[in-house]
Amino acid sequence: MLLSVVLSVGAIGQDSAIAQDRDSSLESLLNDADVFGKAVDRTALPQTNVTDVNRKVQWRLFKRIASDGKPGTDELAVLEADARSLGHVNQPVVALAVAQFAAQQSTPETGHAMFRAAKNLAPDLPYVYFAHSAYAFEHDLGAFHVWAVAFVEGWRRAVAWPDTVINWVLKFFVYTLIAFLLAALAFILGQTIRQTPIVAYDAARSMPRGFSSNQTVVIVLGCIVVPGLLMQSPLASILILIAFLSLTQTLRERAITFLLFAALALVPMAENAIDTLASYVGSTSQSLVHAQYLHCDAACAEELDALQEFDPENRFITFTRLVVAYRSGEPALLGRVVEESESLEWPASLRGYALNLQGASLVALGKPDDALEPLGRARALLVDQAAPSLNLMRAYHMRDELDDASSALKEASRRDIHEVSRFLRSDRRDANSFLAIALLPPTLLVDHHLSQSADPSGIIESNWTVLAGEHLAYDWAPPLGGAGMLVVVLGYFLRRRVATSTPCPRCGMARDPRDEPETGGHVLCLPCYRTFVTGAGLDYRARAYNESVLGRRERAQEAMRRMLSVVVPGSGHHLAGRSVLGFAVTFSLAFGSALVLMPLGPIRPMHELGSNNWGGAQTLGWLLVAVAILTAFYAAARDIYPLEARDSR
Amino acid sequence: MSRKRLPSPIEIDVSDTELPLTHDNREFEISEEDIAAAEGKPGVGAVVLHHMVTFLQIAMVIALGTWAYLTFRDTSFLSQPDQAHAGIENSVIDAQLQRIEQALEVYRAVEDAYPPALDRLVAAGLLIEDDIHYPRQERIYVYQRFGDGFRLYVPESARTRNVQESEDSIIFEVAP
Repeated sequence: MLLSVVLSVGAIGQDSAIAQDRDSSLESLLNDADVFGKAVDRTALPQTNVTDVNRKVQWRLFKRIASDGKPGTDELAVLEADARSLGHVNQPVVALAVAQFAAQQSTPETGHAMFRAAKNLAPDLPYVYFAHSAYAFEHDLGAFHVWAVAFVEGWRRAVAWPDTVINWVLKFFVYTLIAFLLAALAFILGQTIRQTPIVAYDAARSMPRGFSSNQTVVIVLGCIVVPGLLMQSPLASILILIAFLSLTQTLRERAITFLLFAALALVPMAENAIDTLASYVGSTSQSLVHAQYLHCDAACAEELDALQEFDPENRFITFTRLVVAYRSGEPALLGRVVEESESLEWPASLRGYALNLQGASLVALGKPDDALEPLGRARALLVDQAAPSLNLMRAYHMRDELDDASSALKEASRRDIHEVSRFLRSDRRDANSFLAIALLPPTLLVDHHLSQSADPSGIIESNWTVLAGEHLAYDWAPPLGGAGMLVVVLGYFLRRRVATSTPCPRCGMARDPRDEPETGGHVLCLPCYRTFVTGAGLDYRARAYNESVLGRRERAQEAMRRMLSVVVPGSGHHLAGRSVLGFAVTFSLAFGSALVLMPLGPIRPMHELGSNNWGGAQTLGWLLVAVAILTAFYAAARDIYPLEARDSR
Repeated sequence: MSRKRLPSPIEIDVSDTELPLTHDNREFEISEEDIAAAEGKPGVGAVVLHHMVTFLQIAMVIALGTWAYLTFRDTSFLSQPDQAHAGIENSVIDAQLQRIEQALEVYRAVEDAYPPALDRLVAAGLLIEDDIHYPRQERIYVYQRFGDGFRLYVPESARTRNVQESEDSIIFEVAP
């Protein structure tokens, strides 16, 4: 309790310290910026006189300076400001090129400076952050705060940047499916070896007199194989096999079996998810994200026009077109932005963004009085965004109302200090530098994409036919999975009523529940119990004989567990009844191997250049493989003690 | 009536096929009820039936094996049908075209010119080896460099990336 109080007080103290630091840094930022030191014209903002040649000149200057071993951060800062004037938000190509130069620097200070400048060139993308983390880890391992923070910041951006997060989700999803399938096969293998004799024994118990165990096995085999042959479907036989085996399984084995059938029921849903994620590349949503967050040139604008023509009511496209029009800074296009923002019906999720764009356009046109109303509404709607407050600050400043302008700036700082810091770095007077537009959050565009129906690729359906055959239709997967789950659940209740046999932990043979009165409910089967527990009741020669026979069986079981652990990691655990651990071992080995062998995923992201280990995917893969192999080898070396099922019910 | 004592495990001819595993000395003493029940069992008829059933089941296993062979002899479980990746392959190719285009732009930003061939992107460490023919082993991306642009396309599909000197490009040509 004392510890928790100390930790709480420490945490509160830390929070207060952080808040004080933030307030003081905010004050110093505002003082340094001297935002209200000079009067602002009420006239329309001029179009930028920066051209693409300016960017190119700055880039050449940077390369010349970088070749001398200097960071060239001033040139990159000017390049960034020029690019922003031209409407570039993120410049991944330039940022990655700078990262290439930075990665070659032998002096960490120079490398760090270059990477910091590169981050400003593509602030929304994770890749420069990851590259910086890798560089710092390699060249400046002691600077923990540099590589660890860069790594965390990279991940924070990775989960927010659509190109990355969609590809990564797809990668993890596909690899999860593959790993699940392989783990399921290992489980079925282990369960077949472990449970088939038990199922056959119990089946023999329920057969009429005259049938031997071997004959019952053949009958059970026929029940499993014949339907598959009739339907020409190996999958049908596999499913019947799993359902049969589930009758004598323990609770944890039954849970895994239930999971397999649940996965089967969800196959069409999984295929739909893969199709939706895979169709993001080249989709309308990707075009909108790139147009808003990268840059939109003439070809891009034409593409947006074509998309709008195809889908006139799509307001995501309309908003993006207005953003592109705003970035041109041309008075005629700004007028169009005001007109369309005002006249069109906007869905609630976009209304605040459209109002802010309208207000920013009015300020750019030199009409700060008209801009106050839409900007005020935008500020109320976009509670997390700094842009409306920043634009209000400009409007109040143009009206010479400095107190209101100062309040708006402080409010913007409270909402997003990083955005304000970035905003105040530039003192240029063009629409893209002087004002701030709130772009649609990437998550909104991702949701928009996910809500669109994708063309079915049939990637699972076509593979389904290979395993299930022509006669077991793909549409049967959900009912088959549902029926399997029902069998597992009913089997559980059946077992509660009619006790079934369980594998003996020593010899692996059936432990008959009818022997429980004689063994006192011991975990061993009757022969093992009489030999190893109450062996004193046997004649010594009979006991010696029994021990030799049962010992042979026990050693065979042990050898099989050890061998299977090496050949198919995880299946040895299944043989010992430790199914959850066995499933986890096979799954992590398969998942980790997929990450090691194909770290970039089935659909490779466009900006993941120069490394295979973005976000530590390959490292995670090696880690999972190592854990799985060590567990399997440890099991092979030390054996896995079989699970003791004390309660056959 | 005195109980008939059966042979103890020591006296049993122990072999691998008949194990005295569940019989201790106490259980080899058989009751009158057991003897009466044994006397009521059918003898030769039951043995014949048992062996008949066994024979039929062996025949059934052989028949099942033959049937399974005939059913699945033309099925290849290790190869996927051609259409297995047809749907998703277009997305993969689109992504690869975007990826190679980005690599070309980064290469150009660093080296001031597009590379003469895609292999150079691998040598520069921007792409990995199989990027230039992913997702199929045969090389499917054709790259043609011209003037201040390039053309990147897949011969068997309509998917093409034409890049001229654009506003996004960071490089400008210097007149000789």
